[in-house]
Amino acid sequence: MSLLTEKLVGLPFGTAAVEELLRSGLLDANAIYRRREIVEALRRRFIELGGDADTSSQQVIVPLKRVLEGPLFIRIRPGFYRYLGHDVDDSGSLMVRDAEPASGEAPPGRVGRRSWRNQLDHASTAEAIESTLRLHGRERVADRIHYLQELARLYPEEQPMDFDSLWHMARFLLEQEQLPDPEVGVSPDAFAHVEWTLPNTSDTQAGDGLLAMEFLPRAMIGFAALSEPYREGVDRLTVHGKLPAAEALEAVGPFTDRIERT
Amino acid sequence: MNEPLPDRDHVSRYCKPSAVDERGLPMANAFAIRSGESYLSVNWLEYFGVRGGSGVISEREAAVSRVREMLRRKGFRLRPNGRFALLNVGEVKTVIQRVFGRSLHVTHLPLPDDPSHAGILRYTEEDRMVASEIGAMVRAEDVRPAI
Repeated sequence: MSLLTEKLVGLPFGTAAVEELLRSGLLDANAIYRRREIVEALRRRFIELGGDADTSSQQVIVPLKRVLEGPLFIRIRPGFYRYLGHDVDDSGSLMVRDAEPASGEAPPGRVGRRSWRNQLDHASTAEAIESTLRLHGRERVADRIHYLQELARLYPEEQPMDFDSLWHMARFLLEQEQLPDPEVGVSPDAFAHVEWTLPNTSDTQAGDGLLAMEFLPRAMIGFAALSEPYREGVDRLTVHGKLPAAEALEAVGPFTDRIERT
Repeated sequence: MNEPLPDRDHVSRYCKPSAVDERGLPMANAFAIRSGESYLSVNWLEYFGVRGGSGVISEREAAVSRVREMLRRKGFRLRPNGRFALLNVGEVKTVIQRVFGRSLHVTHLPLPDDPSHAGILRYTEEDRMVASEIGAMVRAEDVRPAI
């Protein structure tokens, strides 16, 4: 528990400390949990082990979000996660809590996270990425990538999408299955560019907003978002920057909340 | 030569098919600059004699046709799924000034084979927000087919 002890010295604690808490038997492997249950269990155990008694759920959520994206969990559906632990049982037998059925939880067209991960990790061509997307519920995006690749093949002024950029885009969209299919394009530097239109829900009668992301090499995302087009005297929300995927997603949270799949 | 364009005038930006979405509308990447480029290439529509007053719409259509012709003549390949986005010079400058406190220049940069050529200057490939603001300005009625 040396790492944990070290991390206990200061808050907010990090991803490694959260992983260590989980691996210490806090949760039952192969059980499905609501995210808030995991947060509460982590918070209680952290305090039991000498952490600040005022540790809030909010302080737990940030590192936990990263861990939920890692190999310890599979997301079953929004808000529900299957805990795999460090001894993953591949037999398929599940312990189910809260009377949540284990089967039939995955949205139609989606197989498991681990299966797309494995497939994507082995993809060495744009076609293989396209096929992974198609198999795992992103058919429209796969069709669009096929179209963009065809444009590059037919027209000399069009560029094929940078492979690493395409790979990171595919991973992002497969991980963030709550997001609807974006419009996909190619940036002037041949990176994958995705865009969502944000319906304008204000009474300003202005046009729609926009969330744009460009997948850069080394897993960085350049992003820009605006809640509606500029109009004199009208307050609106904007954000832009360049961050790793998890942080970028957090930065554009107020925008993705408006476009999540129902 | 290289004079700023009047705020009331308009420019057209050719958007390649890879920067046009499935609805036929330009995406923000249509207004992004490639690394190493110093401006966004556009064409000045009023160069062809289009001015305000009656018949503006048909005159603007005529100007877009002239841009198509000129680009074709210089060997530029316009594609069926490409689009022209029309932008008002003053609107682009005002929005960017108000949002970022930065002055963009929209300047006539004539080329021997493309005398209406112009550029939107003073933003870089890192300025995704500028490209997105410009993209958000383009309404469906400001879009014309490439061919």
